[in-house]
Amino acid sequence: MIIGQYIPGHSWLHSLDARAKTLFILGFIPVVFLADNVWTNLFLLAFTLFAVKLSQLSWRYLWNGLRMILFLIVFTLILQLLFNRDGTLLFELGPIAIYSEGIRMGLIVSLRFFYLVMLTTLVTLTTTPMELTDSIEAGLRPFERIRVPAHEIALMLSISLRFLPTLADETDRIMKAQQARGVDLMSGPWKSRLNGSFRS
Amino acid sequence: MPIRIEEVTYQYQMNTPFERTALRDVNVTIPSGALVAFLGHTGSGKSTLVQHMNGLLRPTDGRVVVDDITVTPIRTRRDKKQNLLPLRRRVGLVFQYPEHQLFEETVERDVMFGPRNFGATDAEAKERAHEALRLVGLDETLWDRSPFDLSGGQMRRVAIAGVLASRPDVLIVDEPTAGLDPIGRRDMLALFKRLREELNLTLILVSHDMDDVLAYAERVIVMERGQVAFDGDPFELFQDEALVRRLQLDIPHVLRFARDMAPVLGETAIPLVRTESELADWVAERLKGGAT
Repeated sequence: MIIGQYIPGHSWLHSLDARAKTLFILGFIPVVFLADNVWTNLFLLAFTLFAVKLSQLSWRYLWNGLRMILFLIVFTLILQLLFNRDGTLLFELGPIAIYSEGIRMGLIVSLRFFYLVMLTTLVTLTTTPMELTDSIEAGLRPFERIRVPAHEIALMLSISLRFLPTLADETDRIMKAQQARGVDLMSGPWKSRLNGSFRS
Repeated sequence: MPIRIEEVTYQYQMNTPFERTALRDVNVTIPSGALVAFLGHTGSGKSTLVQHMNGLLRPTDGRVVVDDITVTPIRTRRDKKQNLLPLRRRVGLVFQYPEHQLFEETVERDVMFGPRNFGATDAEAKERAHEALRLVGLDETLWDRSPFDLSGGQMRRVAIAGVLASRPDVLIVDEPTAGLDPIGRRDMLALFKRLREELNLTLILVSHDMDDVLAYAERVIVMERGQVAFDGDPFELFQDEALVRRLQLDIPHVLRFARDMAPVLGETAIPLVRTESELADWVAERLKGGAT
């Protein structure tokens, strides 16, 4: 999982205003759900890939980072294929029946997942956590009139973001110290591994 | 139990934009029973290297051979499943600020944690814990207390006992004197010296204190940017001022004093002194010699 990380760089996406990027994501979500045919999806796919290109990040790194999500995408695709019973019947073998709508919806839903995850990941990868919280504060400021504590929310966010790496370091250190004393977190039956993880 | 590091290269965060080479083609052999110090700046790779010695890190390239156990890069499923527990029992590693890693309810139980993981029964683990706690000189009245009630120095002793309880053949200590006061430091180093003699341990110290290295180590390995920059006798290293400067190290206080004192006492070479008391003896002898 790479969403939430930041990779320093000087691409066009890096130089964009953080507020523009967060606002874009908010606007992009409804657009994604409007796309329901081949042409709109081709357009969104091209747009997403173009954004990746603009970020100047390595494809391999992004691909490795999205592998976890890929599992989810394949899972929804399979669900759609198996259980969507609309459209015309294309293929039948025992209990498995695949309909045209299943293929269409499966592809659309998986693509939607892909666009959203890819673009939100790109936003966090190209924006420093500080800029991101500032942009959230800026976005919430108009709601201060209805007593939304914009500044406090942004502060809470930046404090928690600040301590994430510290926590990760500490976790890593404790895990290693425990491993040095014979806790096996890497191999063995999953039950003893789980046990090890919780004791530490 | 000799440790052989053969052409080891290690990269942090492979295949990410954060990829960084921490070790580059390192070759080091540490014979059984040696007392070796690793010296180097933060980020020079010394801590990364010692973590290879008990299999906490696996090399990206090259191999680590400890006795009959060989640790290689993970290339196949079998590599991934390799059981490194026997290696971790035999090569004990005490991390920097080990007192932060205490977690059990009592001192005794915390020290028992290691042996238990390595397969000892409760009775055996208890016996080994007691043995280890006596070795580090922790008073018996403290064994039932919570480790968090102890002082910093005592907590560190408990943490060291926690590693010793597994009866390792090799003990690696990362910055054992960090954050201790001068007396605490001296006691800590004396403890390791005694442990080594009593248990016949191979002792590996990671340090950046020049005085400690000169006084205690029989051999020093200086790491710089992931490579071995010097490997030899500490005295040989520190008397060579140009080398010391090039490696961005410092001359130990004892040697600096001796260097400045030598011409005053009519000597040309820096004397072979490693500790303050050896230095004092040398000065006293010269002065006596001058008087007669």
